[in-house]
Amino acid sequence: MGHDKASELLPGTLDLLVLKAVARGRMHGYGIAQHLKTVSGDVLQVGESSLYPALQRLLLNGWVEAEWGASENNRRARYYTLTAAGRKQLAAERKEFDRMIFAIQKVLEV
Amino acid sequence: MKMLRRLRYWLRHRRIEAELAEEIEFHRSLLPPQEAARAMGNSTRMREESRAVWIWPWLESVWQDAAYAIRNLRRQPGFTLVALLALASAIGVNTSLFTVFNALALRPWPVKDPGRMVNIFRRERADIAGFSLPEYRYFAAHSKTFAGMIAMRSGQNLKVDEQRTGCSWVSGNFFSVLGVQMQHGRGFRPDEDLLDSPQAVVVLRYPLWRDRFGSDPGIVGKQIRLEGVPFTVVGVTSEEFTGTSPERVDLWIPFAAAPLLQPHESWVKDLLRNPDDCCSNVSGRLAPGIAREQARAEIAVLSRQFRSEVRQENNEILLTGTAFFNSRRRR
Repeated sequence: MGHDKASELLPGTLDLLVLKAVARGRMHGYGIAQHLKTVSGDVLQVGESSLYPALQRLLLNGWVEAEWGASENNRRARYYTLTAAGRKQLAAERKEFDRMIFAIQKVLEV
Repeated sequence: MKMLRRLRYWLRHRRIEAELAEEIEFHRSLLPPQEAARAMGNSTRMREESRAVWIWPWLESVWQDAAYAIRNLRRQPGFTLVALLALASAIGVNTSLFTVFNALALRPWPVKDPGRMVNIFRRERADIAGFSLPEYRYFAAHSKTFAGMIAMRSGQNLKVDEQRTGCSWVSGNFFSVLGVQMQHGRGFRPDEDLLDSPQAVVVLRYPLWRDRFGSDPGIVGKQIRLEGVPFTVVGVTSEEFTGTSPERVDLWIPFAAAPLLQPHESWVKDLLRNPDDCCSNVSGRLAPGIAREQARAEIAVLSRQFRSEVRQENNEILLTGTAFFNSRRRR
């Protein structure tokens, strides 16, 4: 069903996208998935099976922090925020990503 | 930092996984119905992948380290061989040393209920010392905290058929108080250790009986010559009984029989009768329900009484377990 387009992203790209999403302010997992989907015009449909491992990875590296809070519909939800280290990581990954895209385009143009 | 977070995960993984499950449930509650149904199937995989994020890289790095070590070792076979030999011999030496040490020093005596046997010492200035036999007999006659008290003393090596053999003088109740199993015959009877009627009797240790007497099943009642003096064998101890002293003892003789072996030696008379003599080892089997401290207190009182009668300085009394290490340790 081609369910998980995000898993076909370049390796590491999902982490970058999640970091970028969280950089806008604290968000829960569902909100992050929705955000990626909307902003990408429905191209990036990140399933929970890749989103939550990615969030665990970011937690482990100390790039995001999680805390429980009340959601819009008044349920308990886990909210993620970017840490200072996460902000630095986001900048570094962004730079690396741009470099990679630039390189790929160069190869394709030859 | 990463290590700490990982550690925290290890310590609290149940809680963390429960939180993840709750988080997912929340996520699904927001999905349109058909998407939620589709997502269900993936939940186990998702949970495993989430867990793997915390655990897997660590396992992987351990494996990488091991693989790297093995590659290096293989590249330097000489070094590996030397290292292996060093390790192997160090481990081997340690193991055998401990075996010997354990046999000699840590294990209590190989007797019945060894935990109830204690060695009794006195402290004479800085030294740990034994007792004269008269003092031992005073204890044995008056003590109520011991089910039985024994005395023993290493003798000099005796010639048995021209071969020097380790011997120990013991009180007549030695084998019965210890509860030593006999291979043949019996231990001494109390009436074989009376100063006024010495009996020429001997008990052999199993290895002596096996090696020197060819495991003769009819040995009990036979006479053997110790320094040329005929003694009657009354028993052979079982193979398990290795003795009560660190030095090798192969035969036991009642104290009272000492004059039969050395009738003209004045030290023999001192050994048996002089309260100024020192240093026979005294041990006892605690009476049921008696704690060591109670027994020590009683012996301290008896010792003070005895010593004031014979005008000796009073000494502190110590009780220890019967493992060699206990007996030599200063408290």
